Amino acid sequence: MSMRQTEASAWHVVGGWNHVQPGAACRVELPGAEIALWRTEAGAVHAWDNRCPHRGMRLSFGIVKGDRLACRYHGWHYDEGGQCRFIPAHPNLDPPDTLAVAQHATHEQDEAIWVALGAGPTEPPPPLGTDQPGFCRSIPLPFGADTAADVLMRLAGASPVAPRLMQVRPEIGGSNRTVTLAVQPIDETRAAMHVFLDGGPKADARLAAIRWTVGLRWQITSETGAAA
Amino acid sequence: MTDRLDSFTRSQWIVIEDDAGIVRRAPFETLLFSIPIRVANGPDGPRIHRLDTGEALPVLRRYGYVWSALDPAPRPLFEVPEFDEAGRRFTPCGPVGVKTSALRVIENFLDLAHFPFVHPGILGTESETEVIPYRVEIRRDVDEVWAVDCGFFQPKAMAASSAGAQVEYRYRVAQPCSAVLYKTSPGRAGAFDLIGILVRPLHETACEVHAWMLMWDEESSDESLLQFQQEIFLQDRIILENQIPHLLPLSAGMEIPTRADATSIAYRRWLKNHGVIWGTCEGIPEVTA
Repeated sequence: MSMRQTEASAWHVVGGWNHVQPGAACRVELPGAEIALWRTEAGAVHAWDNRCPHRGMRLSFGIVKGDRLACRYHGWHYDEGGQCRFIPAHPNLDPPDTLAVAQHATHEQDEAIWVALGAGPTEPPPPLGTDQPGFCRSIPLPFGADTAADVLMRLAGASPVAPRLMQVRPEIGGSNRTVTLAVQPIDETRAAMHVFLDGGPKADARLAAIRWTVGLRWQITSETGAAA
Repeated sequence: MTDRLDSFTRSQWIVIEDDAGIVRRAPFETLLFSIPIRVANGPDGPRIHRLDTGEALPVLRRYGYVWSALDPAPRPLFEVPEFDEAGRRFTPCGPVGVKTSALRVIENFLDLAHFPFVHPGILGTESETEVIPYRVEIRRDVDEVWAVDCGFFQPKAMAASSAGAQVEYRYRVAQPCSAVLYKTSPGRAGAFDLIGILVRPLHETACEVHAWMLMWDEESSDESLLQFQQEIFLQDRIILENQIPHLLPLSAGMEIPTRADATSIAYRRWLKNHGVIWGTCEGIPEVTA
């Protein structure tokens, strides 16, 4: 798989803040890259190549131990810099500096987790709204990111506000509210959409926004004939 | 994909099914190196044909299994003299389908260092993770990879084990897709139990795994022996299907081994020296999946 330069240098929302909880790890995909997303017990989020350099095991299956990630296969420990610090088969060995996992840039803002491949852009990602945006819901989309944008414009009446970001003002909880849709590209046939609602953590409105998102997903599935 | 089938791999006998499985399942269709084959059973024994060309393939019955090969004149099958020892108990287990290269399955079978993490409380424990140095040798007379003097502390080494024990292991790669381990028998002092693994490549990154046990164990029920092997294999399968790439890298640089991986290093080198391509990253630039 080749990695498009535009995707390589861009920020992407890969999930809401709770997609990976403290002490957990999960797998996320961006074009040409599979990423192990994990959070230390203290709460710092990291995005790494999803491959232990030893025998290729997906690090998203790893176990978080404090501020380290331990590979599920042979228990090798990696610190927050991706550097291997402990090899259980050789407890007295000081692992060489060359034993390290490649890292990607991460940023947390507006209850979103952003990832950019490699060192990432120098600028931080754009805001996901104007009034205390909060995360509502993620849904998978059964088409590439460019098609996804077209579908969201057509079916939800969303307008682009930044690359891979769209806004719409549906009626939610009795009034029209600004909803930001962040499209995460995956490959030619898959993308994900992460939904954020303006207006701070008002529980009732957020629940209504989640219902609106689920309804949109149903509409996408039925009107495009695609199995989401 | 069969243009990736090297002559060394092609000339090996490959497991098709255990004897009971042939009786139970035949006639059936399956795959051998991505080629569809049909396995039938007749009064004069199993017959195997390629479905694409109609060609009859060689058939061998040995060690409780039926074997076949794409090459009309396969290399002789490896010898396991312990099969002729009276009093040993033979238990075949499987098959289990695994979505990865057959060679990744063999390499995992040869690995000691994963026991405390993948099989905790059974084959290892996180309080004893060190892999003490062992010897690896290529036995030129039989052209096999052997690892000897391997030792590991195991909480429950075998189905019949009643307590943890320091267990001695010997590993043997008999074919690219077949390996045997010899481990201290809990049922007979000074003797070794044998566990073997026979893998049939369906495709380069999909295979069917048969395991067998040849043990000094008159106590355990068949069910408990099978359950023991199945529990361990399920734990391994989660690892195997999540190693990236699924093809085994033979060239240095893609994966970084340590001294505990001496058997794996020798296995990869032995495959490379024999020109093995099938199931490896050889000839594939920048494999990522």
